[in-house]
Amino acid sequence: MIIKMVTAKKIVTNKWLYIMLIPGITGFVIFSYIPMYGLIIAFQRYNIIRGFLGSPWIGFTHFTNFFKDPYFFRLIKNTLLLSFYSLLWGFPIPITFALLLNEIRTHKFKRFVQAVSYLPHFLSTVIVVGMLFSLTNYDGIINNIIAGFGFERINFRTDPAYFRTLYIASGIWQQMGWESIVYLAAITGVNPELYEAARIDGSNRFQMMRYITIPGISPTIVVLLILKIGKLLNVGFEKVYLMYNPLVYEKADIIATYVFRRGIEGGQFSYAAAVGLFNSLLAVILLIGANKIARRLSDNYLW
Amino acid sequence: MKIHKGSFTFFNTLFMLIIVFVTLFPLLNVLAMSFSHPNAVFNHEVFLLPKQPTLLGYKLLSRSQSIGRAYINTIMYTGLSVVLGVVVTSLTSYPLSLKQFPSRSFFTKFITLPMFFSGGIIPLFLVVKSLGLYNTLWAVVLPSLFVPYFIILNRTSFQSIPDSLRESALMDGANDIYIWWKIFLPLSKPIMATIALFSGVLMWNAFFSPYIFLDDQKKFPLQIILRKLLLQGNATEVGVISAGYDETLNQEGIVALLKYTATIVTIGPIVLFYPFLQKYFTKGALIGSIKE
Repeated sequence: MIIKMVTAKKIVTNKWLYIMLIPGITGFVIFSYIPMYGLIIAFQRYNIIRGFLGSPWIGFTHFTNFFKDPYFFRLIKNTLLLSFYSLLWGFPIPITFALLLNEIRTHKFKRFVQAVSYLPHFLSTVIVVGMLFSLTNYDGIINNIIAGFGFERINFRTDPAYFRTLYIASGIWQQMGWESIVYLAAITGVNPELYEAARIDGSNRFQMMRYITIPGISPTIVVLLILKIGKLLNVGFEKVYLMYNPLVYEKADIIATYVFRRGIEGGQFSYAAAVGLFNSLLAVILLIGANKIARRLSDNYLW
Repeated sequence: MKIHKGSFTFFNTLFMLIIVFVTLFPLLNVLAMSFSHPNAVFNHEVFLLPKQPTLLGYKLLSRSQSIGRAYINTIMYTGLSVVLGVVVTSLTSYPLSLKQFPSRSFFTKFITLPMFFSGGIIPLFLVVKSLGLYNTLWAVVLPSLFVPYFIILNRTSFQSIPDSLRESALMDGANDIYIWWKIFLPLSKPIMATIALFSGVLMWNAFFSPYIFLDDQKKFPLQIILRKLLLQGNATEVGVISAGYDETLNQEGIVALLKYTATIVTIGPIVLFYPFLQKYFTKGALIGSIKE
């Protein structure tokens, strides 16, 4: 049972500990739990004056309206595809980078490459998107190279077809180094005797990678994969929002950005909350599903 | 075997150098452009070295009131968020790190649930509004103080402090607040530095939260001004009048130059401090990921 009955006596003996928790817990209640409760407006026709408790109840109306929304399929498709492709390309790359970096013997060079690779992680989304825009301008560097080879310049910003690629590529540029930290640490945790034995048996480095290193870090890989899947539908809003414009909505508009437009910009709080709740539930389902699959297929899982 | 090993090392090293180049090029490019002449920037003549080096971009930017104000705002928000955040995080993680704390399991779960499920922006926005915090700096700072990840980091650090320290202090008549303040805090300086850095970077780079909670231009932090300039090509809020300068300067080039100068000015502190603070970041990333 999550909630154990704590006797009054125990509270008194530990009173300072409980007191110390007050600021933190209050903060979580106000900024995390009350908003969670506030999701009930998804089932109401929310009225600012009446508030959470006073607004009229309309049940699942918003949800059915969402399913009938002309953008429904587009939003789900874009959200899932963006997440899926981000994972497909973005997940293996830090691992590969870590494996290759591990093979560098010169200590100083290795640390230099690492330090440089972490740097983009600390740049803000605004800056990264700004640099992306600058590079992909109609008369920017990338187009200049394309034109130099005799091809036609591409209008990256207004053509929906390139949105996902740019989103994912810039994401990899920014996060590859940072995400490789954990894998590098895990690699150093693999028993060196295994490598020794393999070397004696005549293995080359690729065989060692394949049969020792990768299996050795597979617990880390699986845990991180599950966590990533869990966060998949929630992150990325800020970047999509900064990157998109109405011309590319067809591929760029995801559930979260739609929620923002309808809710904050459009003032339709209830409807947007309902869509947002749908998004969160999808994310939880994905997370639990990923964990279940991991449980079935291997010994590594989150819970 | 030896030849094979040599060629792999060669290509791997080459690959790493390419990675370094691809990572640094956009930044060096922006840096070079910020020190270049507006006409050169407009004509896309700048790559890794400034063309017709000049401090014009920086001079113009320093005359901009809204950038100056935004800088002060950003520093203020970051400072508040870091100082308050470190204290709240440390306070909250102390009871959670003690095995003898009766409600330990409950509150730990209470803190970690928001990592996986949240109400979303709409309810949060409504809560902030109903608390009367809309358009105040507290709307931006307060929510940033309660980060489950930091509490877990801090808790892990506290757990490595021997129980005997607390026990003997208790026997000497100290209460937990005293123990936290005088014993645990000083011992956890490294993790506090790590959390301070992480949360500092988060607030320095924050765009979305100020964007939805702030309405008054005078309260905007750097990222919002930067977004207007960089992503929307809107230089009017940067408020720079270059009318006093000569007409040989390409107007659009000036806007472009300002974009890059503003970028450097914004990421400047981070890139400058980064080499010295790097180890704190990597340690934090490791502790946080390898949970029990």
